[in-house]
Amino acid sequence: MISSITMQTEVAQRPVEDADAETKLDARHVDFFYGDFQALEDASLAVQARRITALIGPSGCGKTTFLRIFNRMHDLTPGTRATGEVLLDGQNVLDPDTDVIQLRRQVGMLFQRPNPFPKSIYDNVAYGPHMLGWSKSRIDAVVEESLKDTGLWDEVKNRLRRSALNLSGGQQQRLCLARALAVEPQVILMDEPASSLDPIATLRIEELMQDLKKRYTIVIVTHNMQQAARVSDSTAFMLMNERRAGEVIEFGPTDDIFNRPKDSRTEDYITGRFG
Amino acid sequence: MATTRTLFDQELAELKTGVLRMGSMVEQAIAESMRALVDRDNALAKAVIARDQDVNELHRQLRERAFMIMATQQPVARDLRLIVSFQHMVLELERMGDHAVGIARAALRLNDMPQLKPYIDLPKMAEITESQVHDILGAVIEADQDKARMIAERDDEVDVLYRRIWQELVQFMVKDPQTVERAAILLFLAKDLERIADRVTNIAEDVVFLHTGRIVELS
Amino acid sequence: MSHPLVRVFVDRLVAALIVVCVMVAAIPVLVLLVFVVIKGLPGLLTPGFFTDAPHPQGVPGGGVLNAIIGTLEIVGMASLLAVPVGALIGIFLSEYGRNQVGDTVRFISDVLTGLPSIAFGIFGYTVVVLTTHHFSAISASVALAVLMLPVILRATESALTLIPQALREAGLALGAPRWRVTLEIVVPAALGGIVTGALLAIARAAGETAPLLFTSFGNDIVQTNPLQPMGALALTVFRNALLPYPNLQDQAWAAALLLVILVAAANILARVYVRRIQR
Repeated sequence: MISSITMQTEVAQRPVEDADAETKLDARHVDFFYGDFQALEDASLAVQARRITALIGPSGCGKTTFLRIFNRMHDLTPGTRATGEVLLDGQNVLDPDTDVIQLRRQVGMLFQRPNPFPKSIYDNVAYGPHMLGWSKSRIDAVVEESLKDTGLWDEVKNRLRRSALNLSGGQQQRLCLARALAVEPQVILMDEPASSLDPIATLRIEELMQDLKKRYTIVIVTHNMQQAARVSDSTAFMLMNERRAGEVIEFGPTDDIFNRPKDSRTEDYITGRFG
Repeated sequence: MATTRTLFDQELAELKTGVLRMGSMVEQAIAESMRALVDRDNALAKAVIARDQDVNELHRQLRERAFMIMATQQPVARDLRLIVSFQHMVLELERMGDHAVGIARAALRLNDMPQLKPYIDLPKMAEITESQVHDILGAVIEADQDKARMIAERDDEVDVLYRRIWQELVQFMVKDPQTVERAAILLFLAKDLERIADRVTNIAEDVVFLHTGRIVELS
Repeated sequence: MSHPLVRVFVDRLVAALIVVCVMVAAIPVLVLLVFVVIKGLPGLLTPGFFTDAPHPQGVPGGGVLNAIIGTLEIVGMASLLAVPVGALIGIFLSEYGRNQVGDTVRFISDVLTGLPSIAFGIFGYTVVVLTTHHFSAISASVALAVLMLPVILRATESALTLIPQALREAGLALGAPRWRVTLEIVVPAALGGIVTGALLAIARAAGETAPLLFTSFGNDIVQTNPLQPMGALALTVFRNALLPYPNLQDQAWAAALLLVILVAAANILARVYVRRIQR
């Protein structure tokens, strides 16, 4: 290992300095394999509670792969293996004994393209709570609250029984967010949530994130660097190395990363000199 | 390293060239305005005043261009620091040009009157200032923040000379009321030189910011 | 070949050829339909066709009430057997069947699709008739059910495979176990395709003759007991077509027309249902 790369991983492990920061999600030395092919190498990330952490990097650098490990979504793809630790409040989610169902309720996910169920708006948001066996009144309350939290309530309150598929792209994505919030998670993972939306819808989602971070920890993967700079408190920059495995190159407060990045590769990426 | 923003890099390079060109125009203006004083050359003084139009025009163009680059290219990190520093430097250079004009105007007035005394400290002060201006432009070209810091430190020498000139001229004015008008004009001229030196320090701070992203006060 | 006029000519020529091919394919079908309608309509409109049992040969009049009830009951029972089983197998194949077991099932299903329908009749005969020493409607239903199974199975699997993976991920990411995601999210979303597959299988079963020949055997008496031999529209066509009595021949044509109408109705129903789902 080249010593400078070792240095960078030291930087990545250093927690972000913040008086009231606690680490909510702590990934330590994570390696990820598709069969024999290593897709992530020694990736570490300390995600702070109730902050927004962004993962940026060129295509193929492993940021989505990394994100999906946090709620064990990689289990859906046969032949994958993740080693290392991902601690959620101190418990390793990669442990085979982990209750994955429970994990996924605590760590919700918003996907790149909106994927509402072909059901009514109400049934979409109510699906999780319904599965948890809550009472009708509690479900009604949480549906309203979640839709209000995502700014959809006024737009849909008179057509809750209509199909979710009739909503616009931006509305559908906010609906998916409301659906995720309805099960009262602690962490929300967002995989390029605005990449299929128009600029206005994108900005609405970003505004929502600022609101939501008061109560939830958010990790967002994004291709859009200006978005990462606008929205996040901390940013991690990832890159594919010579072995075609993704690495975390630099991790720090967003202000530092976008003003005075420590690694020249980070600077080259954010100034668009390559990528 | 292959870059994916050749047009952008070109625009940044052109901006830099513009800044340096403005710098050398101002450098020339300062030198010529002092010579107009020492050689009692009114034609030279008038030329300096006229050429300041070019300096102002260049200032306007460079400010506009910097702004357009920010609006259209959304620079970040070192690119943003570069443009912001250049915008600031260009402003300082424009003010330095105005000070040179101030010196030229003072020279025009003094040259109509008998010379108060041989000019010794003023040319010395001017020499240091002129070399500071020349050197700071070099520091901008080489992007050398250490050199910039050293240049800023020479500001102390300029301040020492300035205080000496003041004391001497005040004494003149106290002893002989006839000298007041000329001494007063010379005081303001010295002030112009002192301000030029201050602005060199500001430009040095810009060079440091360009590299560190931090705004520091020098000297 | 870059001259524009040549291109236009070739374009028009190919378009004309396609139209000719379509006509060659469609005309026989249309002729058949018109023939059946012309020959069958009189029988259909004869009073008593829908309400009477067949009269003994040589006696004029009569109807096909036995066959109508028979087709409905036999195909109904077959559907009750085949649709749930076929759907479940289809769900299994789609959600849990990307492996050797799944491939084997698919292979068997494809083989079954290609079997001549009389083979299902022999199956029904061997498994039910020989063991119960009885011709019966239930044996025919068993035979038809096995015939319908691959159709429903494959249609269900296709419908489910068309559902994007993103939908499953959405459910799983909420903390739903796989079985819930399959039953509460994926299957409802694919219901259009599943129902269509079922309807088409039912339409096909209604028209089959060979499997009924030595299972339900046919019965001129109107009765609903599934353990007894039972008539069916297809059997009526088969039997009456070769008899010399004009009223029976008319009834055969009319029965054929009725089957055509039934199959057409099932297809139309399937399409309407799908369109309604999609809205």
